[in-house]
Amino acid sequence: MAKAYDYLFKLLLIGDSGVGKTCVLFRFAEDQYNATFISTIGIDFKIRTIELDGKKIKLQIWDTAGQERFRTITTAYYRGAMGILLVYDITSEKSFDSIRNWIRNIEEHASADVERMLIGNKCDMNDRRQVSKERGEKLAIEYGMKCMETSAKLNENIENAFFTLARDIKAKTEKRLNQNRPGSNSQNGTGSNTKLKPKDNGGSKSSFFKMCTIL
Amino acid sequence: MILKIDFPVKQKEVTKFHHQIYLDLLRTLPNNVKFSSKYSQGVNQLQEVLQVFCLHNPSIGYCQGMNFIVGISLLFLEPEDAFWCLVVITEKLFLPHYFDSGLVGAQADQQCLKNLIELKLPDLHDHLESLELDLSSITLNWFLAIFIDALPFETMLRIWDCFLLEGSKILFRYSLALLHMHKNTLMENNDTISIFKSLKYSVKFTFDIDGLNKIAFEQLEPFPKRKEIIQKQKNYLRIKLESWKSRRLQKINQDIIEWDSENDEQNFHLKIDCSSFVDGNFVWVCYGGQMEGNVMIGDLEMKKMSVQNIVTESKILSIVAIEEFDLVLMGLLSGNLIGFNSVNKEQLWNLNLKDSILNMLSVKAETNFYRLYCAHSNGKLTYIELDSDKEPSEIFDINVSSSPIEWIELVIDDHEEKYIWLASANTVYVYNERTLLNETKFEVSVNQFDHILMLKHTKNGVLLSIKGSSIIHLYDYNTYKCKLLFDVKLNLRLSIEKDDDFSFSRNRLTCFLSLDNNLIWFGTGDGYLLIYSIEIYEQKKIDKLHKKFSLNTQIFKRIMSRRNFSLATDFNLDYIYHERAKLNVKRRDSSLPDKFLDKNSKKEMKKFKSEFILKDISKHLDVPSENEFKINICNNYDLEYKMDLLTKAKISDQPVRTIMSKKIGDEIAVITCSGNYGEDETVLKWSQKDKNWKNEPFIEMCPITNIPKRPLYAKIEYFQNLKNKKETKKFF
Ligand SMILES: Nc1nc2c(ncn2[C@@H]2O[C@H](COP(=O)(O)OP(=O)(O)O)[C@@H](O)[C@H]2O)c(=O)[nH]1
Ligand SMILES: [Mg+2]
Repeated sequence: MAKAYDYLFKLLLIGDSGVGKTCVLFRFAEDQYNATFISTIGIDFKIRTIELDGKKIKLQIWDTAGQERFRTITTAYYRGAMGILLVYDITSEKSFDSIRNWIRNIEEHASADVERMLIGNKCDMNDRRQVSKERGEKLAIEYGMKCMETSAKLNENIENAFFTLARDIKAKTEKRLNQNRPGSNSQNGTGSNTKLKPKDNGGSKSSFFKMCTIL
Repeated sequence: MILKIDFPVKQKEVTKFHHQIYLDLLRTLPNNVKFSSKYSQGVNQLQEVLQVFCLHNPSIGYCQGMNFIVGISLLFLEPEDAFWCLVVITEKLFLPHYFDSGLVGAQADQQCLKNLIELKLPDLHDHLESLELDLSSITLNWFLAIFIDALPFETMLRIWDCFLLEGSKILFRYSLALLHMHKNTLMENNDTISIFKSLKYSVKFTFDIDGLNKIAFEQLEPFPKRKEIIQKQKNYLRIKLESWKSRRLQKINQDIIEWDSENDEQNFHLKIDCSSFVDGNFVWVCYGGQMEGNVMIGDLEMKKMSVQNIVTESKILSIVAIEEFDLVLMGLLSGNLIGFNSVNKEQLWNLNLKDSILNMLSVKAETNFYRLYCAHSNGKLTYIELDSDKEPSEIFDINVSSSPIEWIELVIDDHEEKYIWLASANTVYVYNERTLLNETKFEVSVNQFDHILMLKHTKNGVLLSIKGSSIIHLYDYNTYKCKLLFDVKLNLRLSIEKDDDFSFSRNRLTCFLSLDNNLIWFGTGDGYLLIYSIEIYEQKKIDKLHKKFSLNTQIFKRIMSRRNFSLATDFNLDYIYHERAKLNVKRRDSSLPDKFLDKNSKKEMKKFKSEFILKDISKHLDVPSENEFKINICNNYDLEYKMDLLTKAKISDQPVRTIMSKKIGDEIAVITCSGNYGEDETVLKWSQKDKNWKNEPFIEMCPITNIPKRPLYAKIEYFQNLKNKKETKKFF
């Protein structure tokens, strides 16, 4: 049976409670905004298939609870993630300050070369801004990741954020794939048929590539 | 009888969770008219019940998921009964530790569920195993929020009825029934995503209550007996609990290793551990490794220091000087207490007290008579009487705690009565200094794994902080209540304690000091020195909850040092949170309302349903804005403390280790020690010139040649001078 997609990427949304993770995800997956979601407890997920350079990419995105005591549960999902969106709320200094802690969590629990991206959400509320764009950029540079300000409410930069992250993961994956196969498509059929599928719950903390099985 | 209790939610148990509760109020039953806006009655009641529960059971506090439980209860019950309903669910129906900070009970139940699936639905279990799929991603919510949002409302209510009647066993039964019901769909799918997706959807549309009940109570028979399930639950709980505890301890150990030795085992033996003024004119600074302690002595006037010929048998953890006897006492890691003559630097005596001496305090009782207290890592306090520089003979041990005592502080109360405060783990033990009777003890944090870093007596109260944290606490020494929480990292007054966040931060406080003129000095793990002024003023009544106001414009006074340190500029978060709220709680004496255990109260259910449908129409009438919330505030605090940052300066790349002060004539001299021996400008002398604090580094001299050794510029200067002198000589 032909697969409906070429790649499957697992993404993860983390950040303090109330920064808008669920709204961002809902906006991306369903293109809707609802100011009144119920709080996420434990873990939740959404799926959307996108197209990049002619490749179908299925994104499986995990949404997490922000409260500290759920961390033991949510960190179990870091390991399988190929991309992580770190979300803060530009109207909350505290949520920005927590980003360092979240990064520490990533360093502890996620694959070493997981793609990360910093998201400053609620940028529609400029009048209540507490974290300047520059500070977000500075932090992102410090940790070598991209950053973006988004608004789930006004649908600003949401698509852009997920697409950028997916593109980076795709580039990384393809690069690894080529590296791993010197002489490229000589042995294993045609290169264009090569597909990656991350293995469920498997994989290792240390290697990005181990998370993918080559079909 | 209905009791009306007014109390300020200033209480730590509540304020700690205030923010999280607040975030979830509108995210509980957003589609119900009673809960749709921040002014809705239901939302206010929800907040009250959750806050009161935090007071009732601070070890659990607030956990997301409870909002749903209380929300649903409030549809049928008065707030008071909804509160008791939550109490019964969390304390009677669920395992202990269900909602607490490790969610250990909830995780244990997931293991238990997995085991039951294996038992009752082996084919499904095998299928899931072959895909390495963990169903708890979905089923955890079924348990934590008792199927809220997972099932159609009516179906969920039916399960609630059974749950309240029979306890958590019923959740296993229904979970298995649901899986059984939708088994075929699950078996058809062969990848994680489709299984999760189809399970979520098919469960969401389980309208066939009777069909579900039939499976749950007939098809699944024989279902394990209640006793068996409880036994299983307990077993899994025990395992989870143990692994959680050890993980947590491990993590704390990691943090300590990571930060206390700054990833730098090589330099462990060079780390500066303690310092003391000796004879008014000198400072003794101790460093050294496990098997060796070294002392550097600095001359306050010349700002020169050199390593002495004093070597002890292990690390020196504490040092105290008694000038009257020309005596310097050192407490070692090995448990030895050593007396030195401060003039000729000869060792006088060496006494073994068996366990590491982490801290010492000397109290002058009368002329020629001192009492010395040594704090030990085995939780004992040693009391020693000293009347000369001779080896003491009167030594007493007092058992204080089972954890190490890490700090001893002399605290003098308003009636001039002397007390010693001992810090051990997260607890302060207060002893009367004269009688050595234990007055009281109190915990300064909810987390028993916390350790108090140090204590400092000031005239406003006792300052303390927790290891790894950047928050300073001010405790009243009469009432033992916390009067002020201030985060030095954020330059922000707090009214909420962070919800069990126990990670070490680089900006953690490492030492602090209070000066007479209302100044507090802080040293941090990343080598910053911060000077704050603390001010008391009368508080006017405020009646808004989240009242933010910015501090007076910050005045930054730059201090110049010979070294080019960077002055931090990120101070744009200068607002103060003030949160005061009033809770009116009705409470009655009965421990358990019979109402909600009565599953025949169908009438109320009807009443509620009509409300529920009504709401859908009014859904879009009120779009709540996110951050503000209005609640009445009661203010019964008259005195307020205000802290203003005066100076922030980077003085080292390593943590600041000690800060101490001494009055010399009319002037106050402050000495800071940071980093490791062998680095430039580890010891600085600070003095006040025209309201600004200026520092001068100590120059380390070679003890033999008396030529400057460090820093380099002093050495260069010295040789430059020498050359110039020679040249001038030549010239003449
Ligand atoms: N103004 C504005 N509000 C937002 C935005 N995204 C989320 N919110 C609000 O923030 C609240 C919390 O969002 P939620 O997604 O539940 O946060 P989560 O805990 O991170 O999942 C919601 O009630 C929304 O009203 C946004 O882009 N702009
Ligand atoms: Mg959420």
